[in-house]
Amino acid sequence: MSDFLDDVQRDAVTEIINIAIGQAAGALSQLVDEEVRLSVPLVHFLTPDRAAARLDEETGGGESVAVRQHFQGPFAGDILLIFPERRSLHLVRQMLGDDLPVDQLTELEQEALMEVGNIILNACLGSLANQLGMGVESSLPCYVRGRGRGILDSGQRPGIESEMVMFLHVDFSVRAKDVHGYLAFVMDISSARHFIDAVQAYVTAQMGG
Amino acid sequence: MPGIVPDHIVKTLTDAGEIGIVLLGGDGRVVLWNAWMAKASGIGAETATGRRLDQLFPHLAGARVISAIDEALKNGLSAILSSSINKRLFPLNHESRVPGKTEPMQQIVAVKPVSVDDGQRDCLIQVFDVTTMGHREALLRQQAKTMQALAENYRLSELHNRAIVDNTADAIVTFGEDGAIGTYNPAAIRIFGYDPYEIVGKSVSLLIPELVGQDGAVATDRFLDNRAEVEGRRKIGSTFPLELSLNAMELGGQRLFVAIAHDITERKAAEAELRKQKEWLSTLINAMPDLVCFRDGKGRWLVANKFYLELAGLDHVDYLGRTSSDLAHMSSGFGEFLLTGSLTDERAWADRKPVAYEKELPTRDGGAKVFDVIKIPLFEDDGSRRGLVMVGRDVTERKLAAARIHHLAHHDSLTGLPNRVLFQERLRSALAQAKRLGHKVALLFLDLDKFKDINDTLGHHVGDLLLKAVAKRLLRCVRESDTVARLGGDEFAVVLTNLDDPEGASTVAESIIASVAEPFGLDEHEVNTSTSIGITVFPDDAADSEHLLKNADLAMFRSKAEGRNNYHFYIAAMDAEIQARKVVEHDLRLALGTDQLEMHYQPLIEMRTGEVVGCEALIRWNHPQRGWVSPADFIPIAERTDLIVPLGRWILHRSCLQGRDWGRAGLPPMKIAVNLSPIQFKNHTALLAMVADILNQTGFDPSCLQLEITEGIAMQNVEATVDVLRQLRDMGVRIAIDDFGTGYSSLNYLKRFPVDKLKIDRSFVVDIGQHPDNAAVVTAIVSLGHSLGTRVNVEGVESREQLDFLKAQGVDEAQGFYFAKALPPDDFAHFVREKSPWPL
Repeated sequence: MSDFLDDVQRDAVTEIINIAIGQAAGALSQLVDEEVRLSVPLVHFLTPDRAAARLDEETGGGESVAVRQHFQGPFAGDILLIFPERRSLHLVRQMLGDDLPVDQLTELEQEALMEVGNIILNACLGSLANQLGMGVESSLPCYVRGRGRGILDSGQRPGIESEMVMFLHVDFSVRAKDVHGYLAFVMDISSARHFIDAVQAYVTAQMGG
Repeated sequence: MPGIVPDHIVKTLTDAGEIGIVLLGGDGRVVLWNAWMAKASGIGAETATGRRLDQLFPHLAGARVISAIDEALKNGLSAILSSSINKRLFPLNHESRVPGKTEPMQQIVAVKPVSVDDGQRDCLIQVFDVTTMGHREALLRQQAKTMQALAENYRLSELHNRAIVDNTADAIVTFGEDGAIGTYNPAAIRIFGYDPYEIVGKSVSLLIPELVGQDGAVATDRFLDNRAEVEGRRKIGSTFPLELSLNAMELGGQRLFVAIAHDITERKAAEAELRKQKEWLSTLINAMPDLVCFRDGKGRWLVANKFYLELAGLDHVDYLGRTSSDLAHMSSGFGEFLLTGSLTDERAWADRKPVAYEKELPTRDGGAKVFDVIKIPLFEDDGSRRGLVMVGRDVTERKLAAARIHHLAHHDSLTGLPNRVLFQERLRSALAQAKRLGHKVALLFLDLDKFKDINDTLGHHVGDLLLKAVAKRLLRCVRESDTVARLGGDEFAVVLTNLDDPEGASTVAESIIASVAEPFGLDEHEVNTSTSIGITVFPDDAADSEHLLKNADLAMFRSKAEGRNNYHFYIAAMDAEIQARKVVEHDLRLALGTDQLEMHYQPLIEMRTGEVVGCEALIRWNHPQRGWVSPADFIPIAERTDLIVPLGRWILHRSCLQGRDWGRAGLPPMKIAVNLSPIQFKNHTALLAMVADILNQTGFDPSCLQLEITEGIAMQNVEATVDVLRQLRDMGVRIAIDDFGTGYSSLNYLKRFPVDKLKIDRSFVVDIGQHPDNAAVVTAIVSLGHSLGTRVNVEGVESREQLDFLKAQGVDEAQGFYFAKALPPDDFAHFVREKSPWPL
């Protein structure tokens, strides 16, 4: 799928995502009253299988938790913020300032993680929509737990073979602690094409401007 | 939504919901405010409707929930917010289980854009009450933290235990019911020598054989919860002592044993060494004939030796750890002694130094032993009491010996009376007491009259018996508190204390005189004696013992001088007499060898013929100041000093010269009688030498020399006397016995004496006319003398009547004033020429 985007488009996506992530960081900082830094070094477009494999590879095959939100507009799909389970515990408990000796997130912690994810994901979506000059709506987030494939597959869309995944590393730094997570856009091919068209339009506009 | 569902249905549905539902219109104003919301916020729907949320809840201005609503309305983005992250959410109340009580609601708020037909967006807000969940999670959180703390504790404890097991010096080995070893710690490697891989899974009997029985099953019962000494076996095969603690536990339904084994090789060796030392020590202290006892700082007994236990009646009593007062109850009859010791214990502690004292203890056989006890306190470094060492040496024998020596030193062995030393002590203390109390003390000196004669005639044995008998009688004459002492020879002293007046002393003196005068029956002899007593009184006569002694002596001497068998109080004049005697002695010493001394001679008439046949030589002292001094005054003084020896020699020499000179002057040979002093006679050798010497020098005819000895002298030592008299006779000298009839001559002895003449004592002659008894004595003596073949002489003839009587009795020779007094040599020669023969 590397031919899915050309280099210019890839750079543009990275830039757009970085700006979006920057927005998300700002929103998060506001919430926790502390500086939160987020960065996205790389963006990959992968098939769902590759993405699932990558995720398992990255997490060592362990359980992951994710906050998933559906979005729709000119292009539609799911956006996921994924953490290896232990990292998620770490992140949430860092943010809540409470270290609980329990291996899984409690319900309230799941809610808190959802809110954190919601903030980041909304900021991303909002920034993307804004930069690409289109409207993207999001639905309420939900909490997912599982391994690579299970995380990425919402089970609602018709065929995963027709989808593609934009997979990004996200490095968080909250309260001087670093947390690594992943951001995944899961879209069907037509949505992906709409997205790329929009990026192309953005590139054109930028180059023209 | 109007047009699809009627408004009242919507209202009914939303009001029935168990969540908060708020619908905001595109302008952000409340369109729907359900009943749940109204109840939780306290704001009714009619109030809320048409107003914006920042108007309803002013404090939410700038909060995320407001911007999330904006995002939903403007951009169609959904948001979810929870109380855990958002500090500012809706100020809603949660109704707690206790009715009427509310608390701030923990909530989750979902903000969702809602599309309406005209392309406008509304915003649906749903509020979920998670307060209960929050409480539950808080509880969970609490429990989890507790669990974590426990887990941490457990982990630390495990680390701790592991460290102990790994680092302890004791072998820790676990094994199952089949004896198979499960774990094996580093100390076990060191102690037994096996590495874990060599031994784990094998039988524990390889290490400690006693843990497995004959049948191969573990035999642990007797070791459980019971420390025991067992034998361990090392890999190299040697055995060694172990102290074993064994515990059993259940683990997964299996019985598991934990053996903790301590290598006690060194301890056993030390114990053996200690036992050996203890054996030495206990053998040593038990062998000691002294009391030995160690006690701890609280007075509890640690060690006591056999000697002590036997003495204290504690043999077979387990004394260890008990105090003396405990043991006092257990002792068979010697509790008293155990109890009294605690006083001296306390003194040793208080003085912080050894205490030594003497203690008399009763023995079981009813006797008593005396101990020199020393108690030595021991202290800890901090000054507290550590222990007490008591040693008691049996000094009974020494004390007895000392008492015997003391008695010997202070008592006369013959009579048992105090001797001179003790007498002086008693006298001193009597004087000191009298001085304090204002009493008088009388000191009596006495001796037995003519004791020497008794000794001589009856022997020393009888003399000793007499002294003992006298001692007994003296004791009967005085009070218990008075002292009777024997000063030596036949001299006794009596101290009478607490006298009110000297009369008491004379009463005692009289009673003594009377008592001694009673005949003594001694060894079949009836012995008569008497005593002369001198008395002096403190403080009347003298203030110190030295003067009192001298005074008593003088007074006694006076009693003797005055005829014996009486007593005299000391009077100051006696001192003067002594002084006078001293002067006499001094003058006599000067007179010796000068013409102050002269010899006079009393004629001796042969009764048959009337012729003067000889004379008795008598000394005369013409003192330059005092004129003629009687021999009776100075001879005793000379006898009491060494003067008698030169004086006696001078007398004999002068007499012999005189006899020779008379011969040369033409007088018929004259027999000259010379008196020998008892003192002279004492030294036989010197006497014989002197007589031989003088006869040789003067050339005087020995047969003309008559040596006179008193009856007393003769009887003093019969064998020696016989011997000396025989030697004198061998020289040719004649022997006469003077003062015959006054002493105790035994006829038996007399018979053996080589005697030439008996001189009848003048006392028999003086009143011959008046006393027929005396006449009888004279007759008897004459008859006795003649039968023994001796001549018989009388002296003191003063009248014709006496002369006639004596002549009639057959007396051979006579002398006396009737014929002439003692005459100077020339007068004597004249008398011989003129008056001889005397007309009878």
